[in-house]
Amino acid sequence: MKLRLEQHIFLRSLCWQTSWSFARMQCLGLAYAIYPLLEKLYGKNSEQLARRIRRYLVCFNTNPYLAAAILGFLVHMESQGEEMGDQGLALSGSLAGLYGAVGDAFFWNGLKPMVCSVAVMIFFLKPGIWALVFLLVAYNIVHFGMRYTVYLHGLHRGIGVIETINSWHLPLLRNVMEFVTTASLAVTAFLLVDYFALRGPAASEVPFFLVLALIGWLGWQCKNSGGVQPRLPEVLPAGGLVVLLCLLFF
Amino acid sequence: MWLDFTSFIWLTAKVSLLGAFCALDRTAAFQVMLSRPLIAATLGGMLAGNLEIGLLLGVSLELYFLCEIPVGTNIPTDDTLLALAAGGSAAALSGLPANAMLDDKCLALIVLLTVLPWAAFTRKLDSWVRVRNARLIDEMETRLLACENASAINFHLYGILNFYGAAAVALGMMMVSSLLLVPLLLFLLPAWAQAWTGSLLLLFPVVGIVGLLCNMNQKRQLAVFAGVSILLLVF
Repeated sequence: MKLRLEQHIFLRSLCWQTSWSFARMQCLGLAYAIYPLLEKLYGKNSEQLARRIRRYLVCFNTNPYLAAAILGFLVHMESQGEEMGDQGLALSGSLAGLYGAVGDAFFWNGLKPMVCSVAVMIFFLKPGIWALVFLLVAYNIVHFGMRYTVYLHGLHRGIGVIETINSWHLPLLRNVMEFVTTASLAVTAFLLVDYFALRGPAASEVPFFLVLALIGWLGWQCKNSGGVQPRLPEVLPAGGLVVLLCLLFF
Repeated sequence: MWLDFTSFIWLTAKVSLLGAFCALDRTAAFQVMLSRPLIAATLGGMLAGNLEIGLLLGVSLELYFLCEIPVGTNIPTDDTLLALAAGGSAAALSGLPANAMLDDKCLALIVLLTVLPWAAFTRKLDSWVRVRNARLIDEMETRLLACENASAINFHLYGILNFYGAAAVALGMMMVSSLLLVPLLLFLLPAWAQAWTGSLLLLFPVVGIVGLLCNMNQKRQLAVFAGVSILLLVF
């Protein structure tokens, strides 16, 4: 297969969720991305082409980044004929569930919180647009790097892409990212006191303790309510008290 | 105190029409994090003429909504629209001579109080777009039956129009409500309270920190959080 077609398919996959619907979720995105290959293979017979496209219009949902691995795998299978393409499609449903779980945990629960919390920490360290630059560059280097790599591996190794993703130890990486997230949140809590000028001229550490106490108390309430994030009206009395205490006495 | 009508319409249209492109990054295309509140609020502020207040709002909202994640068919609050509207409104209002002496943090807080009630609406709107997108599949299948393959496949891209249109209309509504309500709230806020009200903005990142910590492995992360806090105090 020519390199240009591979790249064309990958670029089309960037619009994976453009027509996301509750009915069949990402099915149109999958059909749209793989269309150049189907057109190349079956373009001479429009009825056969229409039939092949319809085969892709089944309910499909996965993580939009790791979807590139499934797309690469399907391109690999479809290139080997209609029968292999059907086998690939049959397998893709299982892969979608697997990569949905792995990808959501890694990207939404690991990478995104880490990069965003570090970006917020950078802002409180040095207010300015560097936080934005860091967020965009750090996230997209990892995201595009992984997205394109899994696509290429799926394309060339077929089902072997599972081994590739497994070899990256994503759950372990996620744990490491959680540590970085937590550390940056602690630094952010420390910097908040200075940014909101709660420390006063005496440079006392009491405001930081009060903010930590507020975080601890809200965390305790959050735990008791089954992990639901506290809402602002619930936080306002205690938070207002902490702010007033800091401003009046420290 | 109040915006003049022409600039009111112009700024709302500008933030709604241009900001809605940024909102597409959330689901419809690319997902390169242009839709994060930190970026979106800064963009909203920049479009309305005050990047700094947009940045302040962005950093306040960034952690606040971070623990809401789009797993499976769960639709979280559209923090992009809230951030764009807040950034745009705050920047527009900060440019008024009546607000020249007002603390940016105080203005940002009041703007957030007028924008946040739209959170539930953004979730419903997102659901509505996704229900509407199902029609595209029917249209596509009809075209495929007629063997009009090239035009059929492009129905996928019409989803962008649904996401864009909904985002632009919602942004317009949020901006208008905020631009009308904030001057009223500022009028009601006593002058002595304005000096310290801005410090309450601190509660947004604090709530975000709590939400994130609660979503992680609590025992392990609490130990890390406490350890880093002690280190910061010591050094």
